[in-house]
Amino acid sequence: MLNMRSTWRHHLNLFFVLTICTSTLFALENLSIGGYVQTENHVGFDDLELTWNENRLNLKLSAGNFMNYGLYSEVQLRGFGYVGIDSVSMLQGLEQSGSYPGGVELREAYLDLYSFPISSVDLRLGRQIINWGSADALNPTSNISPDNLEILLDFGKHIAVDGFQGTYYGSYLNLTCVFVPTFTPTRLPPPSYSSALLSAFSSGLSLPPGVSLEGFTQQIELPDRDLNESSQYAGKLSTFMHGFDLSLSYYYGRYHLPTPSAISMSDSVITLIYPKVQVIGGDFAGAIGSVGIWGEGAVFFPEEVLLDIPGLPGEEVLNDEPYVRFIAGCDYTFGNGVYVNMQALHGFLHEQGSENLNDYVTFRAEQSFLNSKLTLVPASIAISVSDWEDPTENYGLAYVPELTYRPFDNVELTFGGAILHGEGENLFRQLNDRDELFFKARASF
Amino acid sequence: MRLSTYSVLVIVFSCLFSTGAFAQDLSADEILSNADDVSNEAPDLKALVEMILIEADGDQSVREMEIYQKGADSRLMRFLSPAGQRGIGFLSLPDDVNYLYLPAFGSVRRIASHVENQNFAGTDFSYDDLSSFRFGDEYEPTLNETTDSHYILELTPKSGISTDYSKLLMWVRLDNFYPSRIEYYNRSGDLWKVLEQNELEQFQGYWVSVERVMSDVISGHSTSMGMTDVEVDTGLSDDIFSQRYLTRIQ
Repeated sequence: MLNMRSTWRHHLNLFFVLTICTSTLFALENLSIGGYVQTENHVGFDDLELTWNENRLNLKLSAGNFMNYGLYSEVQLRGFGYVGIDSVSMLQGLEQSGSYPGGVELREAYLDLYSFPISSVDLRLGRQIINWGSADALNPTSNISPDNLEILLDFGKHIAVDGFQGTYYGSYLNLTCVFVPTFTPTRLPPPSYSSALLSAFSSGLSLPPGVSLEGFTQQIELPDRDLNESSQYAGKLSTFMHGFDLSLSYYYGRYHLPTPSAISMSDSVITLIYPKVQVIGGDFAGAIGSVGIWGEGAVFFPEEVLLDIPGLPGEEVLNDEPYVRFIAGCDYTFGNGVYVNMQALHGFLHEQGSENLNDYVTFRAEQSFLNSKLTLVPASIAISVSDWEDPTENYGLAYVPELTYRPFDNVELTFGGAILHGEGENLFRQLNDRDELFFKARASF
Repeated sequence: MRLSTYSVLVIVFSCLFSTGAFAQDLSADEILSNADDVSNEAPDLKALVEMILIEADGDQSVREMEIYQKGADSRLMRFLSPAGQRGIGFLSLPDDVNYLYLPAFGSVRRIASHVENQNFAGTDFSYDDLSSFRFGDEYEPTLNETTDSHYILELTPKSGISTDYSKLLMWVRLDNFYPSRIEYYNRSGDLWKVLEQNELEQFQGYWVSVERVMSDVISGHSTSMGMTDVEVDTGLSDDIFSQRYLTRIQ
């Protein structure tokens, strides 16, 4: 309890410091302050459980002069619906902030130096989201910024990392180099969803007869805070050739999703770590006629992880055999304004190791009406097949239709639902009973 | 050598008459070529653009953006407002190479030419309408009529050109060849949209349409696009029309 209070006090102090700093920035060139207020709610179909209730104030600040420098920061104050009170005394305290879940998050804060130190180089320093790859939302080559999976079916969002990025712009080739000294893990969804993600690692474990991991505490072991263990670096060469954008990339760092590495039967604790990995990737984007096409592939070279269970031989949970994740897609807008986007991929965001990769197809169709005031997504579908020898018993399906209405400038209301179904061992099967409706309202300023 | 008043008058009248005679003799291709030249003659242009979206019932909303343009086919646009769209950028390059920058995702996305016939950001202008291209590259002109003030050209898409328009009627001014009105007909042959460019100003000798109104005659919706802070022929670098500049903060 005391810990929660001090955390909240820390968040508030941080917020006030940021506010004061903000007020001193008015002398900057082209200063712009904006942001949005948003509420987002998800309700389960069957049990009417409120699975997500978040109210957010997002503040963005940017300044710069386009030719020399720029700065950008984004802060989010978030409050979540359920209070953490389990005694009367918690209601009677003078400081109740610790009982109310929420927090302040510095989403991004970076400084851009343009044409520095030479005219062909731009630098970006600080907390930043780095998103590589040409595919839509599911990018095997984007391994620097961890995925933000807190709302699991809202793929493609990332968390910022604290690092340095420099890009050299040559006549034919661009070279981007990234160094991130600290490790940031993936943000996971609420426990009922996280189990679906993490079970992918634990489902194949060979445990002694009669032993179950149910009720075990999952304990995270972060990399040591030294550059050898916590840092990641990456490089990308990109060019434009024969109408196509092409790039080759290399990444050295860690998986951002945890893998079990040890089980203590006596303490009922599973220890999870973030294994090291190297990735060599490539991607392209272009068009055939007026149809947009893209493709992306990455070879992963993981380190081996053996599960340590006292008294038992080590079980291999992640082998060091290289494996490939890839994706190919296309999009097109028909004359009546219907936009369609289709992708096929091998290996989803959370899948690690050559034996754990499944095949997926995603399809999205959308159309805007009333001069873009209304956008209907009647079909947003992901289908997975985990065993092609018996696909009818090993498949998963996620159907996520939504409707967005913009009654006024800067106001956006989104209604939608998620229907999840599957058989066998796959992500959507794990979420079988998580069908839900969602509502999101956002006003920007 | 000083010219007498009489000499000046003779030269002026000669020019006027010769221009008229010359104009009547021009072919449709030459008229369209001149119209393309005068529309794209500024080597480069930088301006602030205010788009007012006008509903059929009169309700209005505003979009503001900055625009950089070089030659006939390189353009960078970046939204300044409304707040929800601030920072979104669109880069249009030769050969139908387009990029969209969405700051919320921190990434640049390649956009194929299928978007070109779609409305841009809820306005009545399609991506294609806003791109600076030469009509002569995509349309076959015929001269329908010559009035006291305009040539009226009918433009039909060349084979292989993908467009939602079955034909265009273009009013080209006799005095400076600037297209002052364009009617766009849909695939059914019905009048769909009308573009009017009546507010012309000269910047460093180059004609620029500082106010355009595109009206959708079927829906009753229209978009007025006004330009301010126009700077012409400032020697904009080619580097500006790149993904590098598309992602820069301003």
